Amino acid sequence: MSENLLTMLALDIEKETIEDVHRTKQEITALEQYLNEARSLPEKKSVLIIGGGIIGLLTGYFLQEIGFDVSIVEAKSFAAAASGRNGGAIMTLGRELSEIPYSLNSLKIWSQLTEKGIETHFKKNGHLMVARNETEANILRKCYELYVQAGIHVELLDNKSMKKYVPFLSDAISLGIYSHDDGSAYPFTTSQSLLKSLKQGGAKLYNHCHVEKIVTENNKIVAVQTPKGSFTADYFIISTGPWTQKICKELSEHIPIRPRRSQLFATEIVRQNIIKPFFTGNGIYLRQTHAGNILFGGGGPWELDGYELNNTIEAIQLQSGRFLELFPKLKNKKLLRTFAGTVELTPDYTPIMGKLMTLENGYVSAGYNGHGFGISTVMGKLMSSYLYDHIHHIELNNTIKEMLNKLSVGRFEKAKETGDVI
Amino acid sequence: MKDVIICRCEEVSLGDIEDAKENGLKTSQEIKMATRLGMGMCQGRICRSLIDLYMSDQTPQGLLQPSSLTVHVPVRPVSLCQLAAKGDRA
Repeated sequence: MSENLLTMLALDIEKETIEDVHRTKQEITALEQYLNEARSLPEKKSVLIIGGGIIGLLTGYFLQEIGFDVSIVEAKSFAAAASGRNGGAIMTLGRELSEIPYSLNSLKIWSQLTEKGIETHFKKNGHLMVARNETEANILRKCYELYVQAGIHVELLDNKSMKKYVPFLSDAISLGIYSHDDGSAYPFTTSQSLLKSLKQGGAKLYNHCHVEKIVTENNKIVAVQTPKGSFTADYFIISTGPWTQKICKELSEHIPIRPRRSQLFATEIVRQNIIKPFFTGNGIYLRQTHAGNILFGGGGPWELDGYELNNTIEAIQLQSGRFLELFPKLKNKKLLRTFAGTVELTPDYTPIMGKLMTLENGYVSAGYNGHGFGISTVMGKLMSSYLYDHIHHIELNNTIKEMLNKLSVGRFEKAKETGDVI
Repeated sequence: MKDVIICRCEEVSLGDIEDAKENGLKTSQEIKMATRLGMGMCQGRICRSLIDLYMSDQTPQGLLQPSSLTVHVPVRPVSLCQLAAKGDRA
C-alpha cells in the first residue's frame, strides 16, 4: 500500500513559510477590494471572446455587467468539454497558499451569482480530506496549521465526527481535515443559466462556429473569420482551454498549455446526503450531486497527454476499488457511466491570464490546471476588471500588480528564448 | 403536449427540452447535457431515439448519423464490487 495517497493536495508543507501566509492574507483582501471597485463603461466598446467554456461564459457575464457588448464564438458546444465534465469543486482546502486568494474570493462570487438569479446549485457543503495512515495524518496536521494561520475555517475531525458528514465512511479512516466554507456547483446548470442571462443582456452567442483565422494588422487583431462570417470587435479574449496553445501559436504568441485526460465515474442515484461535502482521499475525489449520483475520479500515471476521451478498464477497476475502501457499505451501488474531460496544464501549474505579448487588443485567460470550474467566477470577474482598467489606463496597486505578474503571459518569455521547460 | 415525459429515469418532459432549446442548443448531446435526459438508470435506452428524432425534425439536413449522443462504459449498470480491483495493487 502506498504511504501517501492524499488527493488534490497541492499545498507543499515543506515549502510554504510564514511570509507566504502573510502575503496570502494580504492578497485575499487586496483582490476582494480590487474586484469590488465600481466599473461602468461610459462609452460603447465591444469584446469578442473566442471559446465558450465556463471561463469564456463568466468573463462575458462580468464584461456585460460593466457595460461591454459581448460576443462569444464556440467551435463546438458551449461548456461541453472540461467545463461540463468535472467534479464541480470550489475549494480552498488542498490548494497551495498562492491560490487561496482566488479560491476564497471565488466562493464569495459563487454566492453572489445565486443572489443575482444565476442557477448553479452552488452549495457551501464543505470539503473533507481524509488520511488513511500516520504518514498522511501527519501531513494533514501540518496543513491544518498553515490553513488556520491563513484564516481558512478548517477543523481536524476523528472518525465519529466525520460520520456526521459521511455516515458510510469506513471505520478504518481515523483522521480528516474539514473546511467549512468550501463548496460545489453543478456545471451543466451553471452554463445553461449563464447562456440565458448573456442572451437576455444582448450578447451574441455562436456555437458550432470554429475560428478559421484570426486576422491581425499593425499589432492588433482586426477580425475573426468563421464559417458564419467575419466578426470584429474592439478587444479579443482567447479562452480556449487546452486548445489555447495551438490558437496562439498562429499569432506567434507562446502560451504553454498541455492537454491531459481526466476520467470520471458516476454511480446510480443513491439516498440523498449520504456524502454531504466534497470528499478527497485514497487517491480519489468524489461528491454527491444534487440529483443524488455519486461522482468520483482522480488522475494517475495511466492518464494520457492529449485530447483522448476514452475510459480505461484499469482506471475503472482501480478507482472503484479505492472508492469501496473508503465506503465499503456502498459495494452494491451501481456504476452507471464513466466519462472523461481534458485538463489543461501549464508548466508552473498557475493559470495564464492577461494581455498577449505582441497584440495590443488581445488577451488570454486559460491554463487552469483542473481548477478552472471552481475559480471561473473570480477569474471571469478579474479578467473583465483588468480589461476595463487596462483600456482606461487605471494604475493598479502593487499587490494586484504582483498577482497579475504571476499570471502573465510574459513569465514564459525567458523560457521561450532559452528553450527551457519551466 | 409539453407534459409528455421523454426521459422517464430523469423525468425530463418535452417542455423541458423546448426550454433548453431556447439557449440555441442544436444537437441531442447538448440537450442531454442541459436537461440530464438519457443520464439515468437506463442510460437513454428509450429516450435516445426519441430525442434524435425530435432534433432531426428541427434541422433541414434531417437525422444526424451517427447520433451526436455519446455512449459510456459500462453501458448497463454494474455493481461497484464487481468492478473493483481485488487484492494488492502495484
